[in-house]
Amino acid sequence: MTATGHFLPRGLAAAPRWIVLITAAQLIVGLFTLALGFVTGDAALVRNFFEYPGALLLAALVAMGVALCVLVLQGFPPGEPLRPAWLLITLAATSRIVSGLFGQLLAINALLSPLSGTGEASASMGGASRHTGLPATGPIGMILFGLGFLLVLGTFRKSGIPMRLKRTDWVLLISLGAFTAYSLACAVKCVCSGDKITTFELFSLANNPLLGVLGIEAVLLWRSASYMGCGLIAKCWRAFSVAIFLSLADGLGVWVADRGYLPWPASPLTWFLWFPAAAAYALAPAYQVAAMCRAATRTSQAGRDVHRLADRRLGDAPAV
Amino acid sequence: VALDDGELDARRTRRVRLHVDKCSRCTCELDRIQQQKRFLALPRFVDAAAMRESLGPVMADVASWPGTHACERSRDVWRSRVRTQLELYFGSGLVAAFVKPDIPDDELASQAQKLLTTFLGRESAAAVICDILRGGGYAGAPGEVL
Repeated sequence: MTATGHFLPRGLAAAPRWIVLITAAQLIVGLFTLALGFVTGDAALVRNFFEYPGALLLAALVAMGVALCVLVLQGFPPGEPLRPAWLLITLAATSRIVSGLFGQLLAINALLSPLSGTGEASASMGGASRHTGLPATGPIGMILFGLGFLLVLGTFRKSGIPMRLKRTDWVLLISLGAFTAYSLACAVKCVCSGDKITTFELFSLANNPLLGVLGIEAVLLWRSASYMGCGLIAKCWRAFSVAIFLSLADGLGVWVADRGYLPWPASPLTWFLWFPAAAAYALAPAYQVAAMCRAATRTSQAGRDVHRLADRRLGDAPAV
Repeated sequence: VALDDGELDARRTRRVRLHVDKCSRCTCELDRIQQQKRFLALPRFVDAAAMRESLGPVMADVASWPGTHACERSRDVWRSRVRTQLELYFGSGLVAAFVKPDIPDDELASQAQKLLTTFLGRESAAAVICDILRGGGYAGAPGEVL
């Protein structure tokens, strides 16, 4: 048994399946609640769903993602090519915990929050905590993710894994490039206008350009992972791409809703993107951990099955 | 070969010697093996073309040695297992691109090891490699070339 086997419980190999199942169940319940709210005309039903079970699941997914990232990081000791990339990704995932705590649990004026029931004080403290939480998960997290993905793309290239871009990819890349340039210009214009802006606003301004850059990386990551196929490692990097695409879609939804283009009951539909996005962020390290678990349990039935499959291809029974 | 290499114990050496002395076919075979071994032990400065020309019949003979077929089969099993492991961890697309039918064994081993070590970590990759080696009937230690 290698050291890998010591820190990875075998049950973790099933982590991706559990994440998908729990998220799917939550989505079904959520959509049912939305339908019920629409029929009864009671918007509080939907709000309650997002404030209690929704917030809990999001926080749990973020915490699970961090724990899985830490496990992956242990599998890449110093000196390994992907160690810096996983370190940055772990730090980025950790920054999302701040969002999970402040943005979801503390900032809401709900029973779950320790700040609840204190009247106006809770609202102001909630607002403050939201302001503390968001920047950490926004630009800082995105910068860390961006740097991590950049290192991963470099490793793909060094390993001879190409990213064969298709026409649709180019269209996406050009669109994302234009979005990045536009939002960057807007941010610069806002900063240079001379108006007094708070740190929170400054961080918020950096969100869109960084999300655009992350989107570009996600397209490249997706293409490289798709070239590999459907193996566990390919799924890991594809999950990260999906997470970023969903974050982009969520951002777009918020933008559209803010401008009043998405009236009730369509507006909460964009909120449902939070669950698959959070699940995808947790799924990515879960797939990597599953791959490491498989490697560690080499004498397991799964390993023997793999060998049997290989031997069957040669048309003979193995002597494993 | 084992007789000529002195790998047999005293009792078996005596028995095989007795047989070889009596059997003309085995005497010829032993002479041929000794001749080929002498050839293979020649210094490296032998002309490459002449070496290739002379090696042809030697390799043909080696192919006919008992156990060679088993070795060849074991090699096929090994290649198939490398493919399957790469498919499990990366996917069929990467396998189709990297594991061409004409890729030499050492190159395949080196590529598989590099990919596994890079994306799975050294320890996990060593476990996978160990698995391939064990299952394929190879007595290699993890960390060595596949």
